Amino acid sequence: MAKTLTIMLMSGSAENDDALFAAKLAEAVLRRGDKVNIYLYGNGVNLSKKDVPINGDLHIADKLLDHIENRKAGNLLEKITGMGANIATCHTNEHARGIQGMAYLEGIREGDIGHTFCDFLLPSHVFLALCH
Amino acid sequence: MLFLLNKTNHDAFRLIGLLGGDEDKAVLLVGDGVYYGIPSMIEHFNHLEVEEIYAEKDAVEERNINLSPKAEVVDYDRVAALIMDEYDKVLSL
Repeated sequence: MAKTLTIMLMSGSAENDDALFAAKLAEAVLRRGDKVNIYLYGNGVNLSKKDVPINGDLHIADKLLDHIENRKAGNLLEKITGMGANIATCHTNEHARGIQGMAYLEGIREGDIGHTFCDFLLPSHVFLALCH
Repeated sequence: MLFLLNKTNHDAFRLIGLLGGDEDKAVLLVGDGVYYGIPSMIEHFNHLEVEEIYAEKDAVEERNINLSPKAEVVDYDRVAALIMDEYDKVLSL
């Protein structure tokens, strides 16, 4: 029987390795045939958003830009939603950060702690809280 | 019981002792937590009777650290197996 992993991810973009670890772990768990829920909370909600395009020169050296782009957790989060991961945010945390109206990455949805997180947590076999 | 350490924390060893009690204990080091795997730090796990120490491969390589041979380097497939199958309890600190 498939097991379920729920991760509450409270670290956001480019803060530390938590987001990449969560996404890569989720990918490995999904490859096993198990289920994964990721609840984005605190600064983790920043990971849920599509990039806002910038026209013109970014003023970032190519080597640094490659490094940054290859470590954007959003790319991997979109990949794992395509593999079946359920990813939702805390909309209140989004609102507190002024980003509630921004577009979500493909497969990521708005949620709340009382319903979405509980629906994730209660049937889970393993729960991890990742923060700094 | 498997403790997942993703950062260095002055309270980590105390919490492992407090929460682990007399249970069989293992530690999985990920992210900045892999610094606990260097020779001068890994000895702190001795008095806690931690039986197994695992360190996530990408985190070790990206930091180019000298990992103690007492730590087993594991890839993500192994990390998934450790977390989902091999321990009854997993605590993220």
